[in-house]
Amino acid sequence: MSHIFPEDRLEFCFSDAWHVIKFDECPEYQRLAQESGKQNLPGTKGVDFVGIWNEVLYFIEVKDFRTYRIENRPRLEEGTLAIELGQKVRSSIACLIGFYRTSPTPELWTPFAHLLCTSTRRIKVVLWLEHELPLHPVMQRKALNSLHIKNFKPRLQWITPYVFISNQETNVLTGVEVHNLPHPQL
Amino acid sequence: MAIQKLQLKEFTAFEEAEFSFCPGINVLIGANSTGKTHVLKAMYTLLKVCERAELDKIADPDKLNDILSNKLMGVFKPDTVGRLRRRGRGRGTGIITLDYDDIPLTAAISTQNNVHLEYKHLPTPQPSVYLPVHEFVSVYPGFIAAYSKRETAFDETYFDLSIALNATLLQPGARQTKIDELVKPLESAIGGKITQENGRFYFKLGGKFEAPLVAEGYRKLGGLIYLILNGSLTQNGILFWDEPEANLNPNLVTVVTKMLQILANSGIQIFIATHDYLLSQELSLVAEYEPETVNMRFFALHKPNRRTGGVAVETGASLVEIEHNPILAEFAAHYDREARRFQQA
Repeated sequence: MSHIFPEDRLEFCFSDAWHVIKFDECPEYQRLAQESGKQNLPGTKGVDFVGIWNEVLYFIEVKDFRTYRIENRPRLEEGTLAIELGQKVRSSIACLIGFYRTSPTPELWTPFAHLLCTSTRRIKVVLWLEHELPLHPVMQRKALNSLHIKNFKPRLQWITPYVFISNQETNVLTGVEVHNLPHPQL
Repeated sequence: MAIQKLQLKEFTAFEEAEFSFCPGINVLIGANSTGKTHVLKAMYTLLKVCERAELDKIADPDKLNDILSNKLMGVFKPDTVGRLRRRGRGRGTGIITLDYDDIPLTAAISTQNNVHLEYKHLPTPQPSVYLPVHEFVSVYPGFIAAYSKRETAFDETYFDLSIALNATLLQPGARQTKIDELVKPLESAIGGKITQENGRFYFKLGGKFEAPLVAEGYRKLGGLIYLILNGSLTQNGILFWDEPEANLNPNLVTVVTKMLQILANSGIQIFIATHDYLLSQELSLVAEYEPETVNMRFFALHKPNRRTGGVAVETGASLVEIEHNPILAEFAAHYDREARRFQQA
């Protein structure tokens, strides 16, 4: 495994087959997303990971609702998370194109820009959603995710029809292993 | 006054199964061919025999056996009554045992077409109503006569329903408040009222519409409204409803859920067989979050051995306690199918 990133209470391990970046570790993104400074652009929020596997471009946003399950439930059920995801993908795309054009390390961004601008190449959006529903068995969680996906798709239809809600039980990211990190209080 | 228990032995899909019912809402889920409808019909048949015995003052056991045999034939529509016994090797007897008001009643059906009703004393149940899958108000005109002449393949539950719909409306009286409480949400949901004139049903929805011109979901709810208005669905009676969700838009499911709660709280024991995710989940939410408001119990019928075994029954106070939920399983399988398509795209 050559790319390992912690995110929330999870650890994402991308195999060598992935070309992946974590947005908030990139200086170009940090300049835009920082709270102040000449180059900051308020409201810039990208997804957690942008990656390429098998010539498919992935936007991956991670939400771990296990910690604040009740507080986060309205975001999922009222559709605000779907809007948020759509906005983050939009910002991410703008960043990818912008950084491709201006970054001092264009080799990092060229593969993303190439796929974005090739209409025959697939783009996929994955919401990695962990939520603990102790009273709900696996089947119930799958059924709920299946229903929630229907809310997310319209918000991303402008860029791709391929949208999915994934988690450790149903991992659709080939070549990616995801583990729980120890609870910080332990 | 309620059905407490049902036991089925070597009867249709059932090798041996037992149900302990609650006095409120009993919800049966299960894949096709797991016997949900047969559970409802078995109970309905025995109650109807008891109603007939009470109404016509029949006490002769041989006469009662004939009535039971004819009712089983009419409700289930087998070629011969012995075919209701679970298919197996050689001869045998299928058994239906019902506990109504703690009074046991048993129907024995042999492969040689002998039917025998066993009882210490017959219960005297309140009237029960069976709502079949298809709406009926549009089919109703002339149905009683056609059925009496054997000119239709509908089963006897439809004939019984036509008799129930034929009853005249109750006069305003002491029960009017209760009837209004039951009927008003349904009338609000369909946006109007149902009436009967010269043996035909009409809906007042802005204008006056003949039943066949109205949406099937509205006709279904309209039939329920009329049965309440004419007293066929009475306090302490029993309602059997097969697939309430058929032809019903999802936005009416919450109306039906609320209606079932009100009916149950007015003393009607309810049995529902359903395939519907939304209806079963809405009912389960009531059981999970407002258990004090209505008695409810869920029964999942499944076949542990799909090839050879009989139907097994799993019971829970809500769907959360049910492991074998085919509705949920199919939604979960849909999610898995989408995951595979997503990966392969």
